[in-house]
Amino acid sequence: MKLDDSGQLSLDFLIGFTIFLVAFIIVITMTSGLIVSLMSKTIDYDAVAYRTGVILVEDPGIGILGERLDENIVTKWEDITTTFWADDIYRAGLAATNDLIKKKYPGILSQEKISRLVELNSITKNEFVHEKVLFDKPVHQGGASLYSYRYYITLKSIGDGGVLEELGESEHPYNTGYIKRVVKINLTYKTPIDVYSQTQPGTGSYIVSLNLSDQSLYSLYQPDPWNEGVYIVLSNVTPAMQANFSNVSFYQYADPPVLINGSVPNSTKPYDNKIEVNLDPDFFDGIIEQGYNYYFKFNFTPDTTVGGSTKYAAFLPAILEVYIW
Amino acid sequence: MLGLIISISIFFLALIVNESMLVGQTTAESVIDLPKCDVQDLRNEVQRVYERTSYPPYVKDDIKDDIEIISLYKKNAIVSLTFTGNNITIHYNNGVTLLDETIDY
Amino acid sequence: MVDNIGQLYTIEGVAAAILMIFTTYLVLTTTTIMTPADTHVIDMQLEQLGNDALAMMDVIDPGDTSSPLENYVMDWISGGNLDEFKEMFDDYVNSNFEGKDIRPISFNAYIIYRNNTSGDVIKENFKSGFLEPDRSRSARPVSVTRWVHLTKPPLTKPPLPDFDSRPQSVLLEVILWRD
Repeated sequence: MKLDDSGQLSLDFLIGFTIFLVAFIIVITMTSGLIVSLMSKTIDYDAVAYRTGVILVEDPGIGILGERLDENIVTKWEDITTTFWADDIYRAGLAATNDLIKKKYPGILSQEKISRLVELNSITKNEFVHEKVLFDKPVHQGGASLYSYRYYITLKSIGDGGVLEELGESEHPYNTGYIKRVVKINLTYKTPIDVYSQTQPGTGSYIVSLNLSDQSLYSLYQPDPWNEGVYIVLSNVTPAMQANFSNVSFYQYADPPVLINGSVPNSTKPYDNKIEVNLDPDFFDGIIEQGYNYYFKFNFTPDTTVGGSTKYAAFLPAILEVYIW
Repeated sequence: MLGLIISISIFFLALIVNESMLVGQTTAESVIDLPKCDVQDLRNEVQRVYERTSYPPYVKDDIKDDIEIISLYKKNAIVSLTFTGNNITIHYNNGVTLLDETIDY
Repeated sequence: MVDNIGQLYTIEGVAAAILMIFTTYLVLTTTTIMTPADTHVIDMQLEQLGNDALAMMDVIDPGDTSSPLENYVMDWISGGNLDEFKEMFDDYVNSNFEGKDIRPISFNAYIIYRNNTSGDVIKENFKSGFLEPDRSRSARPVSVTRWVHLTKPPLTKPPLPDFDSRPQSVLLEVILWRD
């Protein structure tokens, strides 16, 4: 500008300044694109989903009783029924804790833990899952707790796609954190050792073994009578066999066999072409020991031809999905 | 002159953004980096082999060689196994993750 | 206003504008901005899924002495085909998609074994029974592996070069991608 006191801007200056401003605006628009991509929120949800998946599938969970450090007792979380169970359960994982399974296979889930998780979740209305599985700490707002994440966890069986369990809100937006895990469920908690029987020359009795010495690599299924009890079912029983059935005895394999209980309780009268034996863990307290083999003998009088083969309940393949948003 | 100042500030910003690409690692990348499944698989396999009591020692040595050499060539990991009478020692190193473990029987 | 004092304001403005735009263009083309979230998460999910499927196929069911995976590999080495392996792996990896006909994940498998006398490590494709599916350009394949222990490989001549019939551990490698 001319150095005088007329206070006027030259046109020259205005045009130059305008061009500068327009270019400045274009540049700012372009560079804001650089920064926006760094603020993405979706990474966080996938990370939480992955962590939740790992806790559910690979972690057996832990419960710690006791208030002082020297009396802390570590237990299975699904067994905790103390008054302040929410404080005693640290993590609720679903992996089975049978020693053989824990040592070698982190993808096998225990049906008992699954049932317990669903039960506790329905009592606490989602708080339990938020705190002990997602590890989502609430923000307290005027009396209500507000959680940062929402979840939907499903367990479906492979093959028929039927939903076994569901936790959380099934209505979820399209963009969520997601993880899918393939698992197998150990159903031996209260599921039968199924015996398919067919008429073959037999000796008037039928034997089902309970091997507690088989620690072999072959078997991931280890009968656990002290915690789960035993449940045996003889299926395809003919009416003649039903009429002749008298009771079930329990022996220890030895030479000669040692009779432990001549007539076990809870062996029901046959119905529906089945004979069932359902024994609680209390029955086995003190009468059996790890490392020995035992057997159940189904007695029929008079002698009936009985034969068949024993089949253990196989693991059930399933899919666990976690959605987080 | 103002244009010059703004250009310089954009360069500075670009430098920061570029550096952040090198330094930051997304969670998914760090998950892929940790060979969790490989280690679990290796432990499981080693235990299965060890528990085959019917194998004579030279067979177990051959299988140990199998695992060590295939790990080196195909999984890019150094594995060293020792079977003794009552325990197994596993050493695993893939350049990023190191594992030393003794399993007692 | 218009006199004979030289003013450069217009040109100064234009010069500043050109400088800024050129700098920004240079900056944008040199800093490579990957979309950080998308690609790695998909890889991670696929890899975890593949590993899970192989691990679950390797579970020995109660009452058996070897896992389904070991049986299938042993079958193939004895000259069988791999339809059952394909079917089980396909079930585990592709199940529960809306509509049963969608199979978005395809795979191919290799077996890696070692010859004891020569010390060579050999990699063979599970040729018979696998089609070579069309792989689209944008597919990002992921590799997952699993150790398979073979207790008694057959003594007959298997369809694999230099394969020893001794108890050994082989590595099964499966490549999967999402179409």
